Amino acid sequence: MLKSSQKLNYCLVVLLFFSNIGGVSAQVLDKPAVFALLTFNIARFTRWPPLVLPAISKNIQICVVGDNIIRDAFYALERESKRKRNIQIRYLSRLRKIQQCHVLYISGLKQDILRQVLNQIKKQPILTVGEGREFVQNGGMVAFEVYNKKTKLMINLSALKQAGLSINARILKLAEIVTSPFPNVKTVE
Amino acid sequence: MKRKINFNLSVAIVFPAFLSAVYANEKPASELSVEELLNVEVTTVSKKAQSLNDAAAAIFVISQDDIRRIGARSIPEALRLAPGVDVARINSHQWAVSIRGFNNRMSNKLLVLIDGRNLYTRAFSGTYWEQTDVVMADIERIEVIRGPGATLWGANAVNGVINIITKQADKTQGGLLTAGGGTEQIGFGSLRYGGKINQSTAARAYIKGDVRDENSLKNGQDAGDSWQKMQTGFRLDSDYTNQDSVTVQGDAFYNWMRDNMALPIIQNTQPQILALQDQANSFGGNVLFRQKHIFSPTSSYQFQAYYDFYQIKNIQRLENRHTIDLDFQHRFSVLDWHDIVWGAHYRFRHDQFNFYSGFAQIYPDQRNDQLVSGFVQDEITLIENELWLTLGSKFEHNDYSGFEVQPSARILWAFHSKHRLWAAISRAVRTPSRAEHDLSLTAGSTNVDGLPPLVVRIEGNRDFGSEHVLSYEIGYRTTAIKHFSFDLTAFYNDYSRLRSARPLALDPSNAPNYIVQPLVFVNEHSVHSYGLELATVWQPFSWWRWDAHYSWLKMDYSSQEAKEEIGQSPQHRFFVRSALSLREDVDLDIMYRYVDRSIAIGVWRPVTIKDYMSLDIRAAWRIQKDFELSVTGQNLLQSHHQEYVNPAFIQPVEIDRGVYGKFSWQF
Repeated sequence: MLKSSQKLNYCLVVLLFFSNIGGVSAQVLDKPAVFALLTFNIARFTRWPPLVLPAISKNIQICVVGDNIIRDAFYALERESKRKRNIQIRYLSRLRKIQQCHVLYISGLKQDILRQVLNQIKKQPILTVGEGREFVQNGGMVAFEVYNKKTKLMINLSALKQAGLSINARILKLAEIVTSPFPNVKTVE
Repeated sequence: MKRKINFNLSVAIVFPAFLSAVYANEKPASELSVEELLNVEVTTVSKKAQSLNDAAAAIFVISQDDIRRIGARSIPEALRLAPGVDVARINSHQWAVSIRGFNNRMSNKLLVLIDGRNLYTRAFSGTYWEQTDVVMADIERIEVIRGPGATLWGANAVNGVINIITKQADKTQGGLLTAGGGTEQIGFGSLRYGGKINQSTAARAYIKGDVRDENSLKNGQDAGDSWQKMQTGFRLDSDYTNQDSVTVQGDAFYNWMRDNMALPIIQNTQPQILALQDQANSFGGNVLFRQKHIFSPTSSYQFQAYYDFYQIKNIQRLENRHTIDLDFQHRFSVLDWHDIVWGAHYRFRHDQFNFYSGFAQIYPDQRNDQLVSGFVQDEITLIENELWLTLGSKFEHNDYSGFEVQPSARILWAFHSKHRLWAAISRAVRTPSRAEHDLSLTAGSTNVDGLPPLVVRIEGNRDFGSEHVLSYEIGYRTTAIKHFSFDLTAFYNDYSRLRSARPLALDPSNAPNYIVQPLVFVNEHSVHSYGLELATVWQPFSWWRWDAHYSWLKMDYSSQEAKEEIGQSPQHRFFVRSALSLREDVDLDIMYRYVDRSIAIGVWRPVTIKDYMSLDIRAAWRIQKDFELSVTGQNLLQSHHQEYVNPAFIQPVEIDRGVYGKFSWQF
């Protein structure tokens, strides 16, 4: 019969043994925080047509479609970097006034609605960012996906080109270049 | 001894400190470069702990992950995860599931849908849960809406709607083989395979089977309620253009069920109870077609059509039912602040009954009925991203109760990104069942010494109309505390014109053998109910989550008769679950629930069900990414306990403790 104190010891040893957080050395972050930070950093390395957003612009408008978790991650970013960076976060609860955005971050939309959003703004200089391979395959420009606990970056070059945007080659090197496999999503050579 | 305690304390203090040290000593996240961010380890904490929905209604979503992790082998078992849902198992194949009171084997105030197909049957008003099944792993989510949903879903969504949504075919590619067995779930298995037909079209097909053991009687003897089931089906989804998608799906099932019955009969001019073993079977199938066209992100239409058929055959009766259902919905936005959805719906039903013994007759034995309805709902944005008002109404005509109007008004106020406040007033109706209109049934007899026996006979009544509710709800949701979410709903329901049985003049034509007391269904009861539903999630670590919910329900009846005829759902219900994954490939789930005393409606008299506690534990190990072994123990606290009784003539059954093992292989 084990004494209760011994039992507790065993429990703790077992807990430490099993818990995989103990041995982690790399930095660990929440998925929404990583995706929001990546969106912002990639936007900094994106060039818009000068008429839309001059190179030394004051404000980048980032519009967010998604639940309160992803929205909060962007708002936290906005608060944190208010002094250093000029970003404005706008939450689109009902998919309206998309034209006013420089960056559109989309999560949690049904695929058919997503395809319609992307189709509607495909020739406009809006950097579309989303989650999963399907996002870029459906005509989105930049997508993130978590694979083996690391974020994978995917970029659709033809969609960028069509909208008159370009992303710095340094970033492109880190990404997997994806093309739209769907014949009905028209791409421009 | 004292030193030991000190050591323990120090470990307990050091352990959390050690954890936090892991996170310290790092560059602030906002200063990381793209390259560094791509190398950061990402935790994908289940969103449920923090997510807030923007609905002005009490909505709870049960995810596929939760269904898998509790080892649910049927949809009612999965529904135990949702707050406010009263799930009571009657025997191996029958369930009583309800929301906000009025629980029954045929809970008539709850609407259940699978992928848009309505499972509520007109026969006795309610859902045959033994016919409500899918491959559990193919469920994408189950949406549980408490409170009236009649404006969108129509009649009978009085106290709630349960929406079972299966995955699109492109999300179920490849094979999935599951099989297992145990003490109560003797054997079960399912095989599903999905493939791509072309770039935009995917399909899957499945077959599944279940063999369930009988439970126990109160005295521990076998209850004779075993159940076997086979089901097969398919689903095809195609996005054939950028703006059009189509879904075709169908299922077919066969059930074999056994029950110990006690039927009231009149033999040799004397009323008697006949005990016998029933061997029932049921089979059925459905095929559904849905087409969706999207004009723009805020405008789309959808057309859906399905055919559904089932047959139930047991010792008392044969029931055949065919349903054809057509539905159209269109949504669009106007002037940037109106989101409008409207729709039209038509349903045709044909049924046919045969009662084998003299104690029940239905007239006519076949009946057709039609239902035509339309609805419109407008969500008005009063303040962008902050305040919404939703107004709408359903207008419906059915052959049983005529014209019905079911309006609702809802308001949602997102006064902060982490807080939601909502309120709603709505009206809904429960339309009459075929049995309430056309069935005449000998419900039992009473013997008083020295007098001829009194036989109670219930008579259907074509003048029996709809039951009404006017519902007032208010709710609050928050995620203001880190790792913690909180959702509270309060409601007050005013029910009127509820079903009651009015005694008519005694019929002495069979005296002195027996005297008949006829009862006829009328709408004379009323009930006021009020209650609270609280749901919380606490997720201190990405690998450990706690879910708890509590619901409280109080009912005031218009009379003692109303109380005896309606029964009483549990006043307090409490549920807590711990979901622990100490290693990524090992899950341990523990579920505890407490259900207060309730009064169920038996055939002859109300039956008091004692309060009970129940404990389920599941442990799973993913030996490889695609191969999982699990062991689930259910109802572990007692060898058997009673949760409900069948209101018809089936003997009360107690639910046994059970353990089963399972493997699941994806290929």
